[in-house]
Amino acid sequence: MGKSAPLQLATHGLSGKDLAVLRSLLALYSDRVRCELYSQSDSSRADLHLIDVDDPLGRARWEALREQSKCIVLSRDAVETPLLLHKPLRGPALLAVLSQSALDCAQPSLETTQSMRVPLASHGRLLIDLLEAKVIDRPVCIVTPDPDDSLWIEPELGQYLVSAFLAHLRDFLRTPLSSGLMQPVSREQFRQQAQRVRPQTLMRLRWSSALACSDGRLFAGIDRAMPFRLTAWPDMEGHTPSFFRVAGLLLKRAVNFDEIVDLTGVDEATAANFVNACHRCGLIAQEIMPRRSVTSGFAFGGRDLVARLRQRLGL
Amino acid sequence: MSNAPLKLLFAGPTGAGKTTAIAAISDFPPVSTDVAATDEVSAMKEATTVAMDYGEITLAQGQKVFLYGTPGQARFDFMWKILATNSLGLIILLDNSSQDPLADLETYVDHFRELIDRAAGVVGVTRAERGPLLGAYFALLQRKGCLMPVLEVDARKKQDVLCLLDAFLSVLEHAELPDERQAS
Repeated sequence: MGKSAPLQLATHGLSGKDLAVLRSLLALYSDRVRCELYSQSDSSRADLHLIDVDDPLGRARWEALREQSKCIVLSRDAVETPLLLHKPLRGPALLAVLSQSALDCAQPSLETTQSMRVPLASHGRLLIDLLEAKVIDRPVCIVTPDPDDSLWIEPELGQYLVSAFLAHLRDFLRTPLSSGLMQPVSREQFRQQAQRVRPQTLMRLRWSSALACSDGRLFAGIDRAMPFRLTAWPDMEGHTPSFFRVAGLLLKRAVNFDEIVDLTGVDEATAANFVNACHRCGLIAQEIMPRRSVTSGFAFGGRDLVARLRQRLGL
Repeated sequence: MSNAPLKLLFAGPTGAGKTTAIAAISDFPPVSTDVAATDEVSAMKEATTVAMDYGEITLAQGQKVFLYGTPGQARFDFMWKILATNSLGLIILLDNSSQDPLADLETYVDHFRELIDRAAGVVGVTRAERGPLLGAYFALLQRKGCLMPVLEVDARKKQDVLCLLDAFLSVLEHAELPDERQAS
């Protein structure tokens, strides 16, 4: 890409601060994507328009240009458009959008190759929604906030690749995706990447994405008075003792939400996040059989014994 | 509350890390009956456990928890049932780089199913960077209707062993425990 003509990028409605950030990011990524900046008044030669639609003038400009020109929308909101950048302007997202645009400008035929297009339905939606709805139906590579890392998904194999701990990608997983961040890749490219990064099953990504999107309140769809249990231990990454407490209880007993909080001592928001994530992954089953008392189930002081074991082990 | 000793079982094939895991938490270096391997195990490691490993942890008020590591070779499986009697539960360690770790898991789950269902069990997958993905273990357990945590561990790291034990204890906490008076 470095040898092709520079991308002509016009900006509209950007604040002075965003323009300064943009210039510094373009300088930073100059070895990966070449770009020349134009101001709004001199935008006729532009290949691409970067427009802040939160600014009224920028919004008007976008309305005028969107039909005949290629526009990248910059906004703090979710906007229905193929190329969206969320504020604040971040390097990896900008790089992904510009790289894709440069590729489109150089090889317009790619744009019409249906087999290599990311489904438009993916735009502006959370990753967990895409995974649940199986919208991602071909291998893709998604830019993450770390310029040296990216998230690869292969739906047919049910696998994903990423170097980072998913817990470190929490903000990314809870942010609606822009289609500009998502690039289609071939199965061969995925296979090659899997030589470098250990694959994991999609269920782990789905669980972590669901967890990242939970806001500490039990989903309205879950009846907090109804007992439920886990149908399997979730594929959690790392060691989160409070999640282990809730999972251990729900593997052994059917309890309602208030009983989870009472019996584990885990705070309500943490318990809700865990239950919500399991619910979205289909790991929660409502109990319809009569259940035993949850307060007298410890045959011979089991909780005391476990407490002493934990104390001895420093857990 | 009885002060009778309790026991905790570590099971898994040869080379999965049982002795190392017991060493990570025992009050003293485990008493192992390692000998030079002369059978097919010799291709995997120089010494192996022919009877069992033994360690202890002492709780507040002096109560002991005996830690038993079962011998890895299948020909000693007659001992598994004896060791499992009145155990607090089972920690299965599996070497993911071995020939068929999922078949190994199935073997241990089938042998110890009653203990896992009644008390608690946990699966620790060692050398997880090679071999099947963790998801394959979850799928197998789900197919068998067996509810157990599965975690990747490096048995040489005490923190990993403690994480595995924390998952185990989280399940055990809500299980029907054996009568401590008979547990020894």
